[in-house]
Amino acid sequence: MVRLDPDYIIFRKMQLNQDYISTGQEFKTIEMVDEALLGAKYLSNKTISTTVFLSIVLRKPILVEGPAGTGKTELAKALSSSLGAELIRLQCYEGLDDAKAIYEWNYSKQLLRIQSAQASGASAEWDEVKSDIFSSEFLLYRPLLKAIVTSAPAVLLIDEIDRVEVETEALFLELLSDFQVTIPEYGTISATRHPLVILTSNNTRELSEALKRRCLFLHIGYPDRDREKAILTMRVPGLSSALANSIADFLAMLRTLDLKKHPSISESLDWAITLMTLGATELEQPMVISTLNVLLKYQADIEKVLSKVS
Amino acid sequence: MFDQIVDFAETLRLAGVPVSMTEVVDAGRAISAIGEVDRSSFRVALYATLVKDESHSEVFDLIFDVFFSKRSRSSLEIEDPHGLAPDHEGEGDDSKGSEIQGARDQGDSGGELRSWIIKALLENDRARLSRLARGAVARYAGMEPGRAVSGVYYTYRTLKQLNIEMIYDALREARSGDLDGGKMSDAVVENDLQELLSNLRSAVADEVRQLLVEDRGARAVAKTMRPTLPEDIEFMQASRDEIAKIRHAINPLANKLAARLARRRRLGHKGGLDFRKTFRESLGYGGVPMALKFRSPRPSKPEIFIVADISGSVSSFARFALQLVYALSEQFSKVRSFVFIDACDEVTAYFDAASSIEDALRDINTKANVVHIDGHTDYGNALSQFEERYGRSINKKSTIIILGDARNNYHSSRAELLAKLRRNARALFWLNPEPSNYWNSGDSIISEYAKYCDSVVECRNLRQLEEFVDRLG
Repeated sequence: MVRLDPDYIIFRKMQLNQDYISTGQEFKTIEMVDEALLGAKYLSNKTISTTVFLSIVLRKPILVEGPAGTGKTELAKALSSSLGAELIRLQCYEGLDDAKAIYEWNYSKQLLRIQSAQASGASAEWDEVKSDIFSSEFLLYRPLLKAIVTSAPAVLLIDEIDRVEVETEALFLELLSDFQVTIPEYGTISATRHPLVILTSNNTRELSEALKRRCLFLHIGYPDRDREKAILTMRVPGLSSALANSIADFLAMLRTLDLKKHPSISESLDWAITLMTLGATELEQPMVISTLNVLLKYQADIEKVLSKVS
Repeated sequence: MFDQIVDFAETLRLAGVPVSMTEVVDAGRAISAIGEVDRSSFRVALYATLVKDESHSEVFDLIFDVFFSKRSRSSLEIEDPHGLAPDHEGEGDDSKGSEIQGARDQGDSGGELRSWIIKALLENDRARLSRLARGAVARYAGMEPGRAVSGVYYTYRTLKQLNIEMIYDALREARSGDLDGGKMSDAVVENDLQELLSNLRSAVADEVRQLLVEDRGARAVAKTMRPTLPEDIEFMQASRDEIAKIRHAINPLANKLAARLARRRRLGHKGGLDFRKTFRESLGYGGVPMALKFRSPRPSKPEIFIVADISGSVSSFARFALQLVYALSEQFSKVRSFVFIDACDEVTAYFDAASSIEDALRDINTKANVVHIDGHTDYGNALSQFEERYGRSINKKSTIIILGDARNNYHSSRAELLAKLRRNARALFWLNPEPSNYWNSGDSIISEYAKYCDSVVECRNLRQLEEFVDRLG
């Protein structure tokens, strides 16, 4: 049967052109990603490791979404430390513009250059000065450009991208798909070495299709019981495995309740540390009740859980 | 394999997940890149490239399970009767295996099978559980090849025959060692048991799906399952599961809407020209108005009067609309809510008093005084009560939103009251959860009311509700 879907035709072309796919330099297998992240004290799971692996191999940015406190930013940090790469961080906010995100000309330095040319006599040609003041020496490198020009391995973290306006998202598009930045007076700067790009979003607004299309999507939700237990044991030294077990069970139960804000990993870690400090060896009702405020941030939630456990 | 992925993407699109062509290409690159791997990595590769929204993941999983089953099998028969029994205890001799095959239609109590299933659940042995589910489906589901069904009924029949209550009791007894009488451990154990039961349910559903796919092919099965995104589920026809899905989808939706409305208000249009300031400033330039000065924008937050029909047929719609509006209440200067069937009552206080919207809705159902004569919807009477009691509080800042299907049981419409309300209010909208081609059929008298509404909006699903609220803010 002859298939004529556009998708299909492109597939056939790709199959013929297998070297289209380049292999990652650092990680050869998904398991290696797992181990590397574990080395940075970040307990990964199949979803996270596979997506990171694909991001490196396919050279595509990762868009990480999920509730607060589940380790989205932590993932970028762990990756940079396990790769021995520099972490370049761009915190997004409303009103972010290209001068803060990509590059800016150093006006005062340009002015000085022109003045000094005038002072040294008429010998300097205008053309020369012009090409000179728009050279890289007069560029101020903001995070995105920095991530492109650096020759060392880098992890670029674009944090909370949903905070910028839809129009501002366009600033990132060229970088995300082609790993290059175009400066009108200067030309196009392409990455010599592809940085690993992680974007995080708290999902407060719909991101544009154009942005989403360029990224791999990773949703980091609340951990399942086993992963939570493992994270607790790893991050809280001295925590007995029985207690870690009960904490994980209890949190799994809490997350099925209808609460305003479910406790995430960072809260369960805080709670485990609190329980340890109080000398708990097992989960007992009075102690749970008196420390619920560590886990839950709304009075209504605390009351709901109290009515459930006592 | 690529054929299959193209089909897969096509099915996702049919279900409403936007999948672009480049994303399909990425999916192809991704699976080539990961090479021969296990099913879960394969799933992640497709998920990361094709899906860009967490609320789509349920539909994705459903279709993924149809297209790429946990294992492939060739016949409807149980090939390995020995596999049904726990292998280490010698319970599963040949006679039992064939007995299962033979007893398929004889309505036997199935105690053996049930006890094996309980054992597998307690030991969390997924492989054996799915083998046992296969046996149970073969025995109880009574599947008929070739029928274009989604399999929900087969699953239901199998679970019913297995007697899921008995399984629950047995599990509870087995876990009773963990109970110390305290309510806390009770809640934890209960949660655990529910998880085990849902494992069993999904094992059976997987099995049924698997058989359907073998029977009719993945694409056809995916189509009959009609996977729907939460925002496309119709309020009036939602099943209980679907209602739960909509409920979960509302809060993230409300957060997004709130952020959008707040941002629009902050960045939105400037205030009008401030002539005085502009003129004062122009004196500095010899009377030339070099810089125009504007008044600071005064965000006008609408005051909402929401009047909801909560009679049976439209109650779930009213509930979601109320839930959404209350989740957004910070975006409005005031929200007052009223509910009616054939009498009208204000319920704002329930929302203020209750700690959660769920509680408030429950209070409304039990406490609100909405029945006047017979508990059959009477828009005329409800309107006249609303107008009489609360009409005076309506002013030019108030936006009135009426929720209902305008099916009036042939009572009088009293549409003139609506005209009066409209005159005093800033705007009056009517949200109707029925498809617009049903309007004005039977006892629906929406057109009589429509004359006095700024607009009547069809609101069948979350997507339409979201659009409406977005325009409102």
